[in-house]
Amino acid sequence: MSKILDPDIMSRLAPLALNSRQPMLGDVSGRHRSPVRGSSLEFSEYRNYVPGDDTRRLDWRAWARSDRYFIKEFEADTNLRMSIVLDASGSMNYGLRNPQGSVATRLDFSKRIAAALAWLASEQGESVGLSTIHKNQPVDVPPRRGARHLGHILEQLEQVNADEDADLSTALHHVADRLPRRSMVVVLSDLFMDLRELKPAIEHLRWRRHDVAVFHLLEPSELEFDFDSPVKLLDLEGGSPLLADPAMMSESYRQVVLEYLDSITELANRSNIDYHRIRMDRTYEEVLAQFLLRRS
Amino acid sequence: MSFLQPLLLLAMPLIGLPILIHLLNQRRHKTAPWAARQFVLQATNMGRGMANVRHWVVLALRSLAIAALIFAIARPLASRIPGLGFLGSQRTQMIVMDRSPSMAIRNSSSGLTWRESALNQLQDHLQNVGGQQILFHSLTDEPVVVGRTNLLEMLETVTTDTQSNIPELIERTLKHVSQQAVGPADIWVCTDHQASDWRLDSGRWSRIREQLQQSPEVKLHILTPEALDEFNLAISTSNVKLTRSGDRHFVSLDFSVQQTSGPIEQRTVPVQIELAGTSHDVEIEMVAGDYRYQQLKIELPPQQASEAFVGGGVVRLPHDSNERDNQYFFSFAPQPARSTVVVSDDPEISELMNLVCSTPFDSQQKFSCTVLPADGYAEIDWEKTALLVWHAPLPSGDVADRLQTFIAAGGNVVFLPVEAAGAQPELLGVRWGEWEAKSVAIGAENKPNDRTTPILNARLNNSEGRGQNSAESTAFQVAQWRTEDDLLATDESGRVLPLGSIACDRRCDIRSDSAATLATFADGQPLLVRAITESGGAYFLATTPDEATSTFTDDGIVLYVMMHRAIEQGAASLAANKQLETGDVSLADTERWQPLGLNVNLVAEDQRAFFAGAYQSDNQVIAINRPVSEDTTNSIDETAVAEVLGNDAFNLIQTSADSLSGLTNELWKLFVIGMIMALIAEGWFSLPAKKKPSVLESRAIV
Repeated sequence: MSKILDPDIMSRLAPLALNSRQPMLGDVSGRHRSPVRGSSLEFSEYRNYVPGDDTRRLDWRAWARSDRYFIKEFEADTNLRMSIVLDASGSMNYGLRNPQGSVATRLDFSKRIAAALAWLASEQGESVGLSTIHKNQPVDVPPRRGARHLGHILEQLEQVNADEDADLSTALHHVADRLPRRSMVVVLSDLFMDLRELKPAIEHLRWRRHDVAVFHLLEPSELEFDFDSPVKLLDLEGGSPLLADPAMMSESYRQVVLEYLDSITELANRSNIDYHRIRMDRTYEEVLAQFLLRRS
Repeated sequence: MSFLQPLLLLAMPLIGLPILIHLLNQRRHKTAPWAARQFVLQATNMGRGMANVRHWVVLALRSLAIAALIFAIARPLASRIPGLGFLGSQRTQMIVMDRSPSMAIRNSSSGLTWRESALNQLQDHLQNVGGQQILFHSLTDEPVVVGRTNLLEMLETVTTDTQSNIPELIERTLKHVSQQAVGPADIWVCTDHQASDWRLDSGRWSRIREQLQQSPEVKLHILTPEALDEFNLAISTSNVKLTRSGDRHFVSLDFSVQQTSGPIEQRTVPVQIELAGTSHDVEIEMVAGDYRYQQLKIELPPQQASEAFVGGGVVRLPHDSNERDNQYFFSFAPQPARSTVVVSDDPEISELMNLVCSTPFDSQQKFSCTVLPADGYAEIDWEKTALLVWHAPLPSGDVADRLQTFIAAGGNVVFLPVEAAGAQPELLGVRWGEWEAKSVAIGAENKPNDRTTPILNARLNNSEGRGQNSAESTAFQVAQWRTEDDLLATDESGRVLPLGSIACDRRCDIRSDSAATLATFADGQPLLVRAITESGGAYFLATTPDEATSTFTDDGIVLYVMMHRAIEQGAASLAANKQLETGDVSLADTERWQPLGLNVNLVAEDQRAFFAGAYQSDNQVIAINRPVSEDTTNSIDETAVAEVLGNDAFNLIQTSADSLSGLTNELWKLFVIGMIMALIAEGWFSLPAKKKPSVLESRAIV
């Protein structure tokens, strides 16, 4: 098992199913509803026969009783194609030093969630893909099934490093176009970007009927700006340093953050996406458990 | 505003300390990696509003608190007198002290004399400003350096019975400032506004004005009291004589009581006269502000009843607001014979002067006149001569020396011009010039002379005089003469001598640069001058009283009064009693004086010339008193001072005599309060804003 997967946690999460919030179009049969009628065991409805229908699907008993031809339709269950989009911009390197002395960055947190989701999906027989967003050598693994493919994805995840800035909105547009319709797109990001650019990207994904889940990862210190003295802030995405005096700007900082969060919430509601605002001081097991349960 | 510790103001740049700390604090920031750059940028743009203003207000309040602290420890001073100018320890403080009796007037509510009140206020001020302090007063020419002694306790500030000469004191102070290169200085004149002390007609004022204009770093402050309406009476005596009625002997004297201040109302005033070991009380009814008692006769005790008795006494008033003018000493002695010696070779003049001088002016006195030829001066009995009429060429050599000795002893000499060939010698700075016959343009000359000095009162001819002069329109006419004092003064009832009726057909030019002119002709030439002498009198008349030369004998009254006033002055020097005024006595004279026992307070030997008292010296009795002019109520106002000094040359500080508050106030308390207020405001502005719900609390974040 990969280093970023904790067997204990995965064994506890394994009983929880990963469900889609809408019909999916998979490539094999599976446990998810499909928008097309198929040959599963679950009856759906009768309809009149029209020339060209498969005569094997005629209900002869109904013809015997009513002397009319009916076609018997059943639900079509399918698997889902899940693509994990991992933001690997410089801001994902932010994190606080934990009591053990190591720094748990946002990217680490995201990688663990991504790996866990990939493992869970793969265990369910779903297709899993991976897109990482950063300037240098972005990874773009299309969704496929199988243990080898999962291993490849986990290997790619382990190798991802965050650097400089990256264009999340362009990457999302690319994912929306490349993925077949009705796939599941899981976005792991801090969303520190212009929301005017994010909105069309999300709407693009939704227009392609993708089931979009966004893990918005935030460190509490970023929200409160609780410094007690002036601080020189080094931009993780390579911008020039900023000198900030909390006495002068902490109030306005909070106000800006609130407006930003409210805008994202509004965007999520309007776009009907599965939006999760995540505090990084929580464990990814809790986050995933809550995510999976809400979809069950 | 000024400061007691101005050097501490050098710390004023410390007001930039909060800003410096703020800047250093910003430079000593910690560094942290940050991802949410976009929030910081947006918040920074938003924070340039009220938060920015609030932050700078806090910094300003901290700077203000430091500034207030520095001001407070620098001990700022503010004058409660507007326009007092800068005060600082680098300025020398010069104190001009008026020690005249009028400074002793006491305020009934505070119990302080004006001297005490003024010095209290000045002392307080001087303690605040520090610096060298130098005292000038009228009793000595030498300035006194004020040490740590309180001004009130210094003998040099004690009120005396002498009159002050304010312009002389100020000029002396300015001279000291100039000669000693004192630099910036404040001159504090502690005085009341009595006109007799200020002497506004003094020629010194113009020089003072010039000096003040040339020394802008010297500030003149005049401390003067608000008008007091405390009740005060002043007493003085005159015409003290020994008289006889049968076998009884009396001391006759006039005394006058003058109310110098306070409401005028009818009141009974007890007057005590102490004389020859006995005390006599007289009650007078004062209706108006003045009372004059004439010829009060007090009989001498039998054991002292003698025509040769010499003694002294004192008149006293009850306690009032000024003790210094409540007593007046007098002396009495047998009156010497009024002996006149006429030295002349002119029979007409000799006879005329003999007639004038031997005709009794007072029936109780003996008048005699001796006529000697011009070369008969050796026969003069100098010790018994009151007046010498010298109608001969001005003497020189031994004779001149003897004459000057006679004058220095108090004798009077009237010099009359004679026709003499060749250059005449000079005596006492005066010599005779050329004779001049009558003018041909009397009409044009019969006008006041514009060049005459203001001290000569213009006395144009009255109608009677002009009627008489119309017949002598070509004579030299007398136009102006001095009526305030000396031989030509008005009489006690204010009548003016009819000098305007005097005309001269011939006159002799009087040449002198120093003599005081007592009367002038219409063309400005002197008729009568008085040479400058320390005592006695030397008068020079420009004409002779004979009928061919002048009209002195037509009426005769002018010549008679002139000569008898000269005789009386001369006789006074022969008398065994002296009636002196403080300031007229040299310190050397007082060394032999012994108190008569009339003084209530003992006066040190070297101070006798400045305090009233009665003394005996050899066979003489001396009474010394304040000048009567100190009893006058004439005072000058700010306008009068401004006229002689200029409007901007002085700072008049009128203070209340019942006030003990100083001239300056320390303001450090105000600055401490200001500092506290600034710190409180700083604390209020620095309080954290009302805690708003955190982002984590207000927005759902799982």
